[in-house]
Amino acid sequence: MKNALKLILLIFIFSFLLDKAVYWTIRKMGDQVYSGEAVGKLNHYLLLKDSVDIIIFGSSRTNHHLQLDYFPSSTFNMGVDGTALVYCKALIKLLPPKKPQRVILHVDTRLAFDPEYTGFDIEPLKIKYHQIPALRREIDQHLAINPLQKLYWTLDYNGITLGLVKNYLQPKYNYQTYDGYDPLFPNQVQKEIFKGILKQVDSTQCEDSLRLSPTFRNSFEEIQSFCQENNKTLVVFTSPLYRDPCLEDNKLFAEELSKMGITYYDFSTLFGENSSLDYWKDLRHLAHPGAEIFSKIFADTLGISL
Amino acid sequence: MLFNSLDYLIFLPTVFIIYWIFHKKNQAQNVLLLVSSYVFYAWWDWRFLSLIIFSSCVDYIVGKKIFATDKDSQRRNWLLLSLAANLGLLITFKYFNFFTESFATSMSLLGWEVDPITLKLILPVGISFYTFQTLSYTIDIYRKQLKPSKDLVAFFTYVSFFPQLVAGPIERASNLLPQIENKRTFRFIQFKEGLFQISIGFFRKIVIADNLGVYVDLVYGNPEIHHSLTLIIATVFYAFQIYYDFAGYSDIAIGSAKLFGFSFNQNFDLPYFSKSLTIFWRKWHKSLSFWLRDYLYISLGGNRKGNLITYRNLMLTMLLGGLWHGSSWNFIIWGGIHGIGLAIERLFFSRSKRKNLGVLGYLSTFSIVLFAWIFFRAADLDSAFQIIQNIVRFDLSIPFMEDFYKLAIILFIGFCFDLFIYRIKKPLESLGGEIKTVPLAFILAVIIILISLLYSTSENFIYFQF
Repeated sequence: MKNALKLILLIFIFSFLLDKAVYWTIRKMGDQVYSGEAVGKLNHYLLLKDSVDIIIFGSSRTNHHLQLDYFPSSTFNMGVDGTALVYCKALIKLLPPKKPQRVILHVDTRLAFDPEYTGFDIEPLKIKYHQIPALRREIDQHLAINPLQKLYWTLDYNGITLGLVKNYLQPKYNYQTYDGYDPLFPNQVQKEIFKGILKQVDSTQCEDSLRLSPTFRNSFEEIQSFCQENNKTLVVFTSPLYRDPCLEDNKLFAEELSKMGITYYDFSTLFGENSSLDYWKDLRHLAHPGAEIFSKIFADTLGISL
Repeated sequence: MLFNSLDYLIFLPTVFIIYWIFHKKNQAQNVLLLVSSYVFYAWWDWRFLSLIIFSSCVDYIVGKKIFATDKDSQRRNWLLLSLAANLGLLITFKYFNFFTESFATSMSLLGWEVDPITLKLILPVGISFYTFQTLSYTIDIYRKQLKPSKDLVAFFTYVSFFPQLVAGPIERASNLLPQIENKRTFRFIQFKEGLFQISIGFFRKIVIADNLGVYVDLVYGNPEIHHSLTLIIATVFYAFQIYYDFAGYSDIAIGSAKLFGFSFNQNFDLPYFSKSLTIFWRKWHKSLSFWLRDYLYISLGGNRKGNLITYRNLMLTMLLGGLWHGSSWNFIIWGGIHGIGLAIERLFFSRSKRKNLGVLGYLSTFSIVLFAWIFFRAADLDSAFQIIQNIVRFDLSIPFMEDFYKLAIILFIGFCFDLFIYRIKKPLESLGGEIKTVPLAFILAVIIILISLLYSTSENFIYFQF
């Protein structure tokens, strides 16, 4: 039994030391990665967050919908696939204090009234869990992280290591010319799939009793208070959808933000169901031609169009 | 409780420590194993514990009754009672809806509309495994190959022993029961073997299988939109997903049992390194295929009653083996493909000196296995035929590449390890025991870090659904 204890102890010691050695190696590499969505775009944001004037936060419907040709040059599109309000809140709170900046934030109104939304979208930020204390606090606030992550720091890089190494060795793009917008150009197969989807009957069930989720309310209060204290102008918007069968949530959301004194633009029905299919990749995402039109309209609405 | 959960990472060492504290009291150890096995199962749904207890009671009593009498008719009646009770539960929970729906469908083909009676039943996890395990006990006693257990706790522990309770390996009473009844001693070499196999099992399951599963699910979720190359890649990935998923589970089960001083039989022996289907079935899910051979194929007459009966027996065994996996025509067809393959091999090779196709056999065997997996994985028969139709179009346009390189690297690591074991000709089960303490600790630490970096989000083990 003594031998067994010795073996267990050795495994703990070796794995602990190895974990730290691997963690620091990957972290060193990771800090030099500026391409790719999981690590590169985040690093890119951390690099320029103190210098840009306008930052647009949101999900894939920001990333693929806002082309920045119509925006001032000091603008960055920080839309990241699969993220939502809490992810954006964590990043907004990293902005430099007192520097005047415009924070443009995309919101999916459907999620705003989802009582089960607790901020799971903050998960991709766990790569900075042991690097940026402010992010650690945000993650701990919203996510029940794997308790083993406190011991094994390499868990921060779970699932993204190979992609990180690939981007380290061979960057996907030149980040110095990248403004955060990733256009969508659907191929023929994707177009056919979209047409197939449109033939299906929309079975979306609209909620009757809508209540802004506590996570949304609290997050907005935090964002608003941060912006007020740090000289940021906050603008919230919802980007176009091919069809939005439930408009009640948009209306209610607009009322809620209005009560908080936050400017909100709802573009969800901007194009409508009769718009050209060339504008769309799917029901929720604009293809590049659609994104170009929307970006111009949005920049005009904000009064910053070039 | 899932092996790949934090619960199990706490459960296993806790039971392990208490278990070895009682190393001088075999009965206390068995009571602990029994209680912890029931806790392990109840973690999923405590209500279904009653089924395990019922099965255990029936076979404990039936075993004694069969042994106590010499009259063949009485012995047969007791055996039939056990078969009826165990298979009755299995059929009710697993196949009732399938049989009634299939009956209604065939009636409607004949022009009679019949409303199928269906039951809203949850499939109790592990029922296919522990049912076969208890049946083997009773049948072995009936065949006078085993004496019934006199120790109630030991027998109940045999039926419910947590490492193999929910997804096997299906351990024979002749192997496991004496180990439970007799005193176990802690052996460091077995401890090392266990830890090593558990860590390999975790790597296979949560790194390789679960990562491959993401790609497979995406493609098989919408087979109609994918082209030949994508579907072929997804099917190859599935072949390795299911292998690493189930072999990984078996590794964790066998390794966990070793920590308590038990030796299970090997369940997977690098099955894709097979020159023929016959060899494949000696390497794939061995505890099930040997069970089917010993209790079904041989009971049907095996190969002793002429060629035609042998082919019939092969087909029946494989069809029922397919049905064992699930109540769906897909599984039956999967079993049928293997049955036909085995019959053809027998036809060509039984009388020739050559027993397989040599090196070409690796490729032909893997191709047949791969083809059969399409039916195993597809959501239903329509999807399976759609996939085959799309594959034979041979549209070689650029495949769906989501995370392809990452998956290829992970699969390469797993394959190289298997190749290594194949080349050194030593079973994984004993490998850990041959490595010295310090290097073993380092190897395990490396595996832990690899798992930490590469594991995918937890999925249920595929074989839980069977």
